[in-house]
Parts: sequence; C-alpha cells; structure tokens
Amino acid sequence: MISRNIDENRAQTIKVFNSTSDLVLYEFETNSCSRILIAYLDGLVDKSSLDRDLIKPMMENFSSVEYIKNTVYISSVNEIYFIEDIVKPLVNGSVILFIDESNIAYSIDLSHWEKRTLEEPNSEAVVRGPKEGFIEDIATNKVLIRRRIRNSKLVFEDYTLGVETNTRISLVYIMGIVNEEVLEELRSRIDKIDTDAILETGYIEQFIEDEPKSIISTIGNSQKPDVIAGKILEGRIGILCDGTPHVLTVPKLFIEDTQTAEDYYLRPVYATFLRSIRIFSLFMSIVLPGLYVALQTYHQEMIPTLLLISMAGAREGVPLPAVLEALLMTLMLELIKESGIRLPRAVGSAVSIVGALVLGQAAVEAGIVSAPMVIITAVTGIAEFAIPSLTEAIIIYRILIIILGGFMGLYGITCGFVVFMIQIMSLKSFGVSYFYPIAPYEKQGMKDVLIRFPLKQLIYRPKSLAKGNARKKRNEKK
Amino acid sequence: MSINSKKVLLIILIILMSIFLTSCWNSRELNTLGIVIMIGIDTEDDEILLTAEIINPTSAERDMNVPMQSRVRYVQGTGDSISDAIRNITLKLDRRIFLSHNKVFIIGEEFAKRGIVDFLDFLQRNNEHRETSYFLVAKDSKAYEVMGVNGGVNNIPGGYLLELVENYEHNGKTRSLTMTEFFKYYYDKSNQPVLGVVKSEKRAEINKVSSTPSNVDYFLNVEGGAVFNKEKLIGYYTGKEMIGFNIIVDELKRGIITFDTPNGYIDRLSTTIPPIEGDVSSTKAKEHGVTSVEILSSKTKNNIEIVDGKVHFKMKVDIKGGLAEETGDIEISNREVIKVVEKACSEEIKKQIELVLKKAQKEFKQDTFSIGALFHRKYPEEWRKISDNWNNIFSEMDYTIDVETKIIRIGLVNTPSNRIKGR
Repeated sequence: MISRNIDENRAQTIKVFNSTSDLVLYEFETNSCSRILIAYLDGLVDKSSLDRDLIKPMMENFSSVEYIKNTVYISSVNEIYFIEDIVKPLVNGSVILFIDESNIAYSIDLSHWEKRTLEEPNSEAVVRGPKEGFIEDIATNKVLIRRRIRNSKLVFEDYTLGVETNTRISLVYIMGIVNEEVLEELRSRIDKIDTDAILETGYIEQFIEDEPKSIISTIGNSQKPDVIAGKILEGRIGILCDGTPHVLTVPKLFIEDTQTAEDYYLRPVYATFLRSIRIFSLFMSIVLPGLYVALQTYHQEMIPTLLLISMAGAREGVPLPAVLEALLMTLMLELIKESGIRLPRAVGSAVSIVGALVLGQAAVEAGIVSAPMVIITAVTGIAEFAIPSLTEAIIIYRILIIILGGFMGLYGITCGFVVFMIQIMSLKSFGVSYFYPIAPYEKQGMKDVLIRFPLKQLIYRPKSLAKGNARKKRNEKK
Repeated sequence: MSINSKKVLLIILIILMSIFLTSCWNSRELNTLGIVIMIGIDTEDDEILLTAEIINPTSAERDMNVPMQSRVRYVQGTGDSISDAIRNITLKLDRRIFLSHNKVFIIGEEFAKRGIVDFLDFLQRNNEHRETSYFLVAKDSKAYEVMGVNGGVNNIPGGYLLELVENYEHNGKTRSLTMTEFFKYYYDKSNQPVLGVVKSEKRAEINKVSSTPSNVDYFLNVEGGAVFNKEKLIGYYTGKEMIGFNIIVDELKRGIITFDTPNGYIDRLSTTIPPIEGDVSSTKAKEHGVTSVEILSSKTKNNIEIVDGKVHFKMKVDIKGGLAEETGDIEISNREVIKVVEKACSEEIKKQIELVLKKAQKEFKQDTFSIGALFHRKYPEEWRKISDNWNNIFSEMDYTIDVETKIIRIGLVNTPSNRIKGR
C-alpha cells in the first residue's frame, strides 16, 4: 500500500531499490503548498521534459489530486496503489509521483535514453535495398517494422522475460497471414521460458527451439527490418528483444539461408544466378577440403594425370599426412577469422597481413603445407561467406567431412553426407518440415528455391507456413 | 538391454562394417607413390624385363629450367613373371609403383613374338590398371629402346608418346588400340587384333650448333600396325596399308589419299591454254602432277554373302573429302573435272584396300578385319560348321569393293598455281 505519508513513501522507495545510487528522489512544494516527491532512475528519463512538462505545471497549477491529469502536459499517466508496483515503471523510465496526503502514486512515462543511430548492419550489407538496420532499442525496432507494414493487422504482442533482467520481448505477426497453430505453439513455449536473464535473442532461441542438439539452427534471425517484414509477410512470426538488434523469425526453412532480400529486389535471372552460386558455394565450403583429402589419399586414379603430377610435386616434402594438413589449415583459417573479429581495428589489419603471409606464402615455402591446400582453404573460406547465416554450421560439417574423408575416403564422405542430409531433413521448426518445399515437395513453393520466378508468378506464400492464408491478396477493385 | 545401448551398438556396428567392408581401406599418401606414365615390357635371358617411366614430382613444378631428363625416372625390374618384375622394382625404387595413371604399354618385339598371354592376364587381374591405356608394339626393337625418346613439345616422354597415339584421328596411317578395345578384338574367335606400332628414328641433322641433348636427335614414329596371331606377333602392316585397314574396319577419321592427277581424261575437258614455246618443264610437271584428297569422313558398309557355296565379301565405302593439293594442270572449277578426280580417288582407295586385303589373305592367312564376326551375325547356322576353318575360308574369299568419293571442298583457289603462271 502506498502510504499517505510522503516521508514514509520515500523510505519505502529507497528500501525497494536497496539504496541504489542512480535512484533520484526530488521533493518540492507546489504553489498550493502541497508536498510532492518525484522518483526516477537517473539517465532513463528525459530531464528537460521532466522539468518543463511535469515539475513546472505541477508547481504552478496543482490544485488537487483529482485533477492531476489536467495539470501535467504528459500523455501517459497511470495510477499506482501499491509500493511494489513502482519498480516496473521506474526501471522502464517512468517518473513516480508521490503526493502528500494521497495514497495514490502516479507513474508518468518520460522514458528517454541514449540510443545508437540507425546504421547498416555489417554482416548483412546490401548493394540494392534499404540500408537501415535494427538497433538495441525495442521501441525503435517496432517502429521500423510498423513503418514498412502500415496495416491494422500488424500485431505486436509484448512479454517480459527473465526473473532478474525483466527484458521486454515482443512477438510480431500479421493477423490473417500467420498460422494460428504456430502462434499458439510459440506462445506456449515462451510462457514456459523460466530463466533469470535474457540478454540477447540467442537466449530465447535456445529456450524455444525444436532440436537443441542440432548443428544447424532451426530459427532464423536478421538485423534488417525489410528482411523481417518480408518474413512476417510470408506468415512467419518475428521475436524482438530489447537490447539486441537481432530479431528472430520462426518457423525457419532450410532454403531461407540461400535466399537474401536482394533476390527479390534484383531481376529474376540475375537473382537465380546468384542463388545457384550460393547453393554451389554452400556445397563447396562443406565438402571441398574433405574431397581433396579423400582424392589424394585414396583415389589418386580419379585425379586427372596432369593435376596429379602437379599435386604430387606440391606435396613433396610436406611432413604431415593430407588429413592433418587439411585440419591444420582449416583451424588456422578459423583462428584468423576469430581473432580478426576480436582484435582492435588497428591491430586487426596487422594480424591479417601476418596471417596471410604466414599461411599463404611462408608456410608453403617452408614446406609445412602444400600450395594446393592453401588454395583449397582459401576457396572454402571465401565460399562460406556467400551464406553468412550458415557459417557456424558449415565449419562443423566441414571438419567432420575432412575427418571422414581422411579415414574412409569418398565412401566416408558419401556416408557422412547422407547422415547429415537425413538429420537435416528430419528437423522440424514449429511443426513445419525444415526442408520444405523440397521434401515434402510442393510445386508452388519450388518457384522460389533454385529459380526465383518473377514476382508476378509468386502468388503463393510458402503453404507450410501460412497454411490457409497462402494466397497473396490483390487489389480487388481491379 | 535398453533401447539406447542398442542404438549405440548399432552405430558401432555400422561404423565397423563401413571400415571393413569397403575396398578403399588403404590410404596412400601422395608422396609415397611413384606415378607410372609408361611401361615397357621385354624379355631378356628368358626373364621378363619391365621398364617403367616414373614422374619425378619434385621437378614437376612449372619450372622450365628443369632439364627434360630429370622430370622422369626410369626404373627396371626383372622377374619370372610380370607381377614379379613389377614387385622387384621396389628393390630399386624408394616409391611404391602406382599404375592407375599409366597411359601407354610398349611391348618389345621379342616379347610380342614370344606371346603376350601372361601380360594380358596380369592387366586384367591387377586392380590398379586403367582400361584406357594404349598398347603399342616397339617395331624392330626392345621396348626400353623406345622409351626416353622425346622428340616433341611435351615435358615428359610418356606424354609425348601418348599424344602421338592420340593423333590417330588426324592421320589414318596408324592405329590406337586401348586395353578394352584390344580385348574386344582378342576375344573374337574369327578375328586377330592389330596393334599400333612405335619406332624410334633418327632425325635428319637440322642445325648442329643448336641441337642440345643427345636424345633430341631421335623421335618416335607410330606409323603402321602390328598383326597378331592370337597372342603372338606375326608381322606388320605399313602406313599405307593401315589406311586401307582403317577403311575396312570403318575406323578412319582423317587421312590423305594421294594419286596421279588423271590428266589423260581431263585434257579434253579443261579449257585449252596455249603452251609456252620452248618451255619443257611445264609439260613435264603435267605428266607428274599429283592430287591429294583429304578424307573428311569415311563410312564403310560391309556385307557378306554366300554365292554358289563360296563366301563373297562386299564393301561399300562412302568418302567425303576435300581437295588438299593439286599440281596437275587441270581446271578445278569445272564440274566434269571434279567428277573425274573423284573417280580417280575412288580407284586409289580401292587399290589400297585391295592391297591390305591381299596381304591378310596371302601373307598372314588370317582375318584381321572382323569379317568373320560379320559372317557369324548373318549366317549363325553355317558359322558353327566353318568357324574352325574360317582363316582358310577367309584366304580364299572373293570380294567386291565399291568406293564412292565426293569432293565437297576444293580449297581457297580454283586453278593450280602452275596453271595461272602459264597465262
């Protein structure tokens, strides 16, 4: 209960917040001689607005508690009856207003804090298409989506997760397109999340995903509002989380990794070409080093003679067996990639030069690795970035394929590939088959897999996602 | 046993099976292999002498300074059998012999005359061999005398010889037979295989100052064909006979046919030009004029019939050719003239076919053209009775050869240059 005594309320507030230093308590007297106490957390509120729209009118015009909404120039004023209820508005940037002789407190939303400006996300740069990306603030992110889908059917559904962090989560979908069963399933899984902290959407991903042990992820993510808008327009549900620019989408299909937003902005022929390159590079970046190892240790007869001669020349004097050589180079590449991300920019370029020289030239000249292996590693390293959303899975698969190829040759690679394919095909994401529309096959869906058909012909959304709402709406007047 | 441990057991079983039930269990690092490009087989002192040309990988990098000889190594092994000889190479070489990339087998003449049956069995039994490798007979020499000669542009002698053999499609005077093709002919009861030959020849001295290593003065020649009786070499066809041979077996791709220009017929038809007085050489050139026709495509239809109890072989050859050379004094732009040239060309081809047929009938007394197979197909009942006697029947066989030539290209000029000069 809120006490009628303002000093009592002050003590209670300090007690609830454990005497934290960023809690600001400010007491003043109005012209009508009422004592007012305002409480807020430093840095979460807009101070100029606080002074101009709250304190000034209160001082000058406050008459009685009943008319408080007539007094302040602020749109969001809520009444609070219990002292425990002040916590949530305070941490979200509201100002709590205690009035002497009143057992009702008011929370007034004046939230305002420092935000990053909208920038193009590094990992999802595009040539053609919008350049803005999500930021860490969930309210801004919601606006970015709303601005793209100006429609009353766009729904945000808010949750607060994390016993300690009280992180704000928001589901976003389009009523009438979204599959209600998936939505219901997602709600129940989010309700089941029981954790103390949510710091990033990666936390949510691990709590709600279908197959936590799978190498490949069954939940998509993006930092770009146009991508998310496109996905929810296909019947998916977006999951926004305060404090991160990464927005999740469920359900996820395998083919999403081979599609980019640009596919739909560019001409169909070129988009199809790019897509086939991406699929080819996905295959290559997984299989190439393993294939190379298998061919040169088990199946020399399959290599063209001239290539075999130059390969044999390059391998001459290399101390390691081919499989170890491939593993070493793959790990070295990962090392450079990993340290390249973490190092400060000034040192980073130095490290990449050293890495390139040491790995590329010096290692070959010193006879530690063979030149073709450096080429193979470089090609796979480049190829994997054609599909940035899959890089994590690709590396694991690649290492497994190298080991299989090194110990069992092409037979091992084939077996491994079959096992991986079975595993991937058996995955489900929120009840939707992961490999749709290839398996299970669906004719309309195939129009957006290998070949990107012209938009005029893409009149269906993926049927497994949108179920009954698959047919895209047209302007009925025409 | 719980389901989980059953699953684990199943997985272990699958992994063990996949390791033990596959043929590719032994891994061989690339730098333990001696990659063989060419193999020569000879007999010496009743033992088999096997010579292998092995790539020296350290010098395989595209360094033009590496001398030709150090790009390859030659190793020899002797033994009582071929596999013994091959295995004995490991006593002398630090690498394991790797045969999958072998391109050419050269059979020494002596070995070929002795019989190649053990060689054939070894090839079929060994799992490393590739069926696309070529068989050649070293004419008048040992196989190792031919190896190591590089008269071409290719870096390694084996590659040089391989490309020579594959030039087959530009010139019908040779034959390229791979292992599979050889067995195709070899298994045929009526037929005896004809292999390609290779011979080392000395080059005419071009310029003594610039000729560098000694082996450049030699080059290889793959003209001709080696005739086998079952597994034994019995004789050779010459290059000219090989053109006829290739036409009969319908394997001719390209080739040049040269014959005397049929001046006698043509003088009436071609427009007359006043001979330059006192110029004797022009009339002389007329007499010795030759015509060369390049065969662009050749199609042969063989047929066999029994006429009055005698076997009669019928050939119909369709040649499409282009005029490659003309030194006779004739007017090519005239249609009638072309027809006469075509006829002369057909006659020449017919002559060459008869030449090789006669040689097979009279000298070797055996069928080298798969004519028996044709008979077998057409008269299966009769074949059963005569198959053991086929070579005798073949030697007595009559034949009619019908050649039709069509010249579809005459080249860039109509009139031969010596004729233009006369004007």
